[in-house]
Amino acid sequence: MRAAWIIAKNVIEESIRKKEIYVLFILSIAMMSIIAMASFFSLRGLVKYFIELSFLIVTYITVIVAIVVGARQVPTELNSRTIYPLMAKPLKRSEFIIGKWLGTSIISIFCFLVFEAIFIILLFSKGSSVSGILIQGIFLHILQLMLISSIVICLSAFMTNAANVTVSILYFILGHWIGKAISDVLDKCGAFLAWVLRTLNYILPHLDYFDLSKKIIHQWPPVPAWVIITVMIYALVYISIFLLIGTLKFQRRQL
Amino acid sequence: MEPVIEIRNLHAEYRAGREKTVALEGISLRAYKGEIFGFIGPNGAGKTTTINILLGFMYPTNGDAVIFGEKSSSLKNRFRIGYLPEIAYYYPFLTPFKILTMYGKLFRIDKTTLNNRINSVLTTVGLTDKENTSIRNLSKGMQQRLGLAQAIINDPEVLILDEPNSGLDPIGKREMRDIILELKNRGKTIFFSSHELSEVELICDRVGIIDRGQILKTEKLSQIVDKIDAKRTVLEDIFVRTIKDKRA
Repeated sequence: MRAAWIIAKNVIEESIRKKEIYVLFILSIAMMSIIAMASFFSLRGLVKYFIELSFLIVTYITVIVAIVVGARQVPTELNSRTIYPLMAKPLKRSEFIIGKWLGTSIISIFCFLVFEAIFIILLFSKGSSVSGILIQGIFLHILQLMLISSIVICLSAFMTNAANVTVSILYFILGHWIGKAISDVLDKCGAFLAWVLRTLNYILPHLDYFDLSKKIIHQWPPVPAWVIITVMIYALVYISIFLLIGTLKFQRRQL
Repeated sequence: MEPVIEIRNLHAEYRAGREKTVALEGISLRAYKGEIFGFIGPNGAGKTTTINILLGFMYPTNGDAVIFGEKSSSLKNRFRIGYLPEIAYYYPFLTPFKILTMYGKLFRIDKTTLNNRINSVLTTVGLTDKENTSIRNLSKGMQQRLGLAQAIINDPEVLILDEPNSGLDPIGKREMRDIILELKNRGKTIFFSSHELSEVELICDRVGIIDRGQILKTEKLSQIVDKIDAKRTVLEDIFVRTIKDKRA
């Protein structure tokens, strides 16, 4: 794991040097600030509106960070050939993949926590407080970022940067609707297609399990701890599966 | 004498869609402890493929590549090997100090030893004053020196050098040659591929000539040189003649 941590630190260092994260940072903070300022124009009941939009922005932006940072990891190492001196060192290919995942997860989680800190400050400035469900929502989104990072790193062992970004963004959008969408169309399709859809429904991770945004907006009480633990186990199982697939593919790959 | 590097009946092929290109056709060679083995051949002969298999970047379709008696690319072996790629491929956003720290940590060298070793290798390759300069701001020659620095950061017993003089000016080449000879004097085994036959001639103990995936000749340099006119003692003559004879 020490070698994986060295790779992760390199991913973090590279991301700090790139400009894209700063652009996303400035953009999201600006958007959140504008939404927060809306109350100055004497509009009432804007806390819900602020929470909804801010949470949406933070969720999407941090997922984009995870996808953009993660998708380039393996293809860029191969294209720039920095992988050659690296893989000549005592580094297992599995450690390389885990390190890339760890670095991508840390970067996206760090961005998320910074955004959340700003979000909470703005929330306090509006006289609202941090609820239990918000804390749970933050925790589940962290798990979601780790899961998406594992999907992106897995795909980066198979496809180019651009293809990976496209597939991952599509999956992120569809992943929130997959369960509902499949159950809605099951009655209307033939037996074979229904079987395929059911299989997909069981195989693909449901990102909607990590989404508490509606409950946060409507200030529901916290969900039971067993639900959070179950979702956490669900995420860890899928993360392990995706990292295993990515490693197996990368191990067979000729560099 | 036991060979340090042993390649036995190595076959390799590339596939591009349905097309199959044979890169190596059963090559065998040995490099012994403390010697400099020059691996020479025209472009596309199979030199880099051989090195890639030695380092585990590629998998052979048949045959073995062994270093210190076990699979050449094993994790245990990688602690004992240094590798210099043909062209400098290093993270441009890092500095020489940072990249050497990163690579050194992969060898599990403790912090104090690593700092001393970084100073030592940077002095060896003449990059002491550039240790905190971003790699993207280093010249090609400096990056090649950095490549050598990272190849020897673990004080390896075996060095695999792929075109070590690539991008170096005449002074840089001379310095590289001196460093390689110094490493040989310290008992290191050096396996290097090069196009620059004059360099090979100056420092190698033995050479292997490869063309179209086949080893054509493996001999002591002194034996090869003895066979040709003393006034025009150039390995190039032998090299060209060997390749032409084979292709004729």
